[in-house]
Amino acid sequence: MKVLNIKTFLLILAASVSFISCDEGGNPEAGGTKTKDFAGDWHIIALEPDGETPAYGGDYNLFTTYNAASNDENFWIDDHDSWMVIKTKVQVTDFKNLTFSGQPDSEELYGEGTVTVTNGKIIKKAAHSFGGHVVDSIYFEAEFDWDPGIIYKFAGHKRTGFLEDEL
Amino acid sequence: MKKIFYFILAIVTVSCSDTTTEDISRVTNYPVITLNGESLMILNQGDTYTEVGGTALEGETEIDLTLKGTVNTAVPNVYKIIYSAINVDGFPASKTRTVVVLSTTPSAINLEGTFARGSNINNITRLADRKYMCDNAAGYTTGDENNLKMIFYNVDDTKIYAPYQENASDTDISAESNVGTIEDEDNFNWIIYASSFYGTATRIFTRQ
Repeated sequence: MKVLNIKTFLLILAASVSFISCDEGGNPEAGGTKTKDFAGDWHIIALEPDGETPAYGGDYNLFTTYNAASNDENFWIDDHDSWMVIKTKVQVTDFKNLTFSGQPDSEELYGEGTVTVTNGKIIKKAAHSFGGHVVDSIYFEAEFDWDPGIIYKFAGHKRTGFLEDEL
Repeated sequence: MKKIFYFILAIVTVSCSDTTTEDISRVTNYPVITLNGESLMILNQGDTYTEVGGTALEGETEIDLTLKGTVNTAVPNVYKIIYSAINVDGFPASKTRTVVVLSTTPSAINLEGTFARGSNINNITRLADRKYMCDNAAGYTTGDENNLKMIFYNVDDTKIYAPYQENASDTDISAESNVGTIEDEDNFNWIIYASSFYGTATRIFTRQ
């Protein structure tokens, strides 16, 4: 009886080993981040509060928006330390209408000051790239601690990667 | 008991043996298609289109060549005949012959002159009644080295087409247009499919 039990046990073991030993686990679903609709490269120009004059005579610069490590409503706005010098975390306020804003006086990591981002919005297929392609537009306002009371307006469009659209 | 032990040992040792790639590699010859005649044919309305075909080779062996598309020379348009073949392992290849049938009515629209896309200039010169040359087909920054110099055709005063041209720019970009639209003598638009640099925006030109 005892021998039989061991035999049965070993047979089941052998069978299960042979069935599962080569299981590769399939292809895992990669999925996307929570803020993937907000993420990407942008060509953005900083404007004076009048919404027309380029701030400090600047031009379009490359900005990048990307998810925060927490993978929630937080994401980063980053101008790669180029013109207005902004790298700060903002929060999605509406995932459907693609709006966002930051906390008042959020940390700004390049200048080590603070910035308040407001009225952020992405509109799908609402802008043209430099080469004339229809792309998403982005807009937000920012007030920096080094210029209190002045709300700069940032407006731009999605980068396509086509060389004719590059800066 | 010992038997069972050996049985399990055998299962464990052979269950993951990786012999799936042994002795199965061999050469596959991709199909190589050669067209008889030119890959671009410009005909006049009413001309006869003769299908001269082509050949498909898999290594040294000739294989079946499939033709798709027709040409109606009574109707001015841009026609594409696609020649395709699949080799024994299922690898496909294809080549395209473009047949442009031009209207024989003397064109009522003369596109010669200076056109602009935004502030970018595209100079167009007339080579024949329906044949033109332009120096900035994509309407990029005037004078840029990537500007496309392309020959194009006014097919029937409503359609415009620039056939595939290799090294159309000084930077060796090859390009072709879609069948674009002539709105009137002062306005036309098309899409340029280029080998690099350019995207596929609709490019709208207006006479200066």
